[in-house]
Amino acid sequence: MDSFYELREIFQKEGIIFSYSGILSHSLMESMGESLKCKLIDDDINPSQQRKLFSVFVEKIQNIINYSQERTPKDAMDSSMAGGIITVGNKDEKYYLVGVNKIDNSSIDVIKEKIEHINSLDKDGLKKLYKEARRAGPSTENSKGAGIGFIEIARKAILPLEYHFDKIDEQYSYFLLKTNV
Amino acid sequence: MEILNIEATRSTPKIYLDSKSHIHEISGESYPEDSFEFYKSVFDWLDEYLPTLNGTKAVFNFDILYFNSSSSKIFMDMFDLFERCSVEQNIVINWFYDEDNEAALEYGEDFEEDLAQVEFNLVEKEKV
Repeated sequence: MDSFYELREIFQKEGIIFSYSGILSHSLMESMGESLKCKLIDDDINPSQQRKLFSVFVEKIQNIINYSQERTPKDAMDSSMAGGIITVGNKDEKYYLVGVNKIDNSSIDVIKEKIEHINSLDKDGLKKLYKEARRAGPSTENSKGAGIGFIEIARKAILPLEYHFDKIDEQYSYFLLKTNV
Repeated sequence: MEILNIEATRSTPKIYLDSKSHIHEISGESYPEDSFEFYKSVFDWLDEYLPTLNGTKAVFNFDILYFNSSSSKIFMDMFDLFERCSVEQNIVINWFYDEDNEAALEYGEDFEEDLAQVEFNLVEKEKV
């Protein structure tokens, strides 16, 4: 029982509006998104910021669903459900979003490079990068658009994007991405 | 191929493509589970329709409240298709936006900057 109270205190301290850890799916994202919209309207946050937060929310969850190494059913990389954590909060008068998912260690360098590059750009640089990514090859069945997803998040965010890798074992790590909006 | 009519859902837009009136509509939200899959029928329809125009003006009205990054790629592909067809055909794209939705305007401008040939109009919606 105690650990649930502790959890509740952490939630309050971090200004967490909601946090979900588990299997993510498109329909769950749709429903959470609606609740999030209602909550933001209720909080009276300005429409522009609402849209930015919603946009980051969708991009991050879709990124987790597409790329998380934790699939349901297990090992079904093309399944439409994946494990991860998504948290939305408000602390120090800033809204933030944290996404966590399991990745293969071989992806770490690529992800790190992408984010560092994005963090080094100004608004015009990001726009240019976005346009390049948008035109990079035709949309195909196998392309899930990860390149453009991070850039889209960055365009909505207060940079820098914060990230962290937490090693699980020789093959996997948890990838955490925090976005301030 | 006369009419392609797809009802909107929470995460996908209304699609209404009409080969008789030549006024077409894509409106609502666009963040499908699989954008390629969702828009495939639209591209298939356009592939059949566009060559039949023979100079008749075709108007595509986009009124998108929110779209995700993979939809952005899809729209760019679609606009590129219209751009290529504009050499022979008369195609107009109207990108609608609400006055208070600066993101929609900004994205419209993004697309406009990348298109040289096809007529692309940014249209502010009238307040109801």
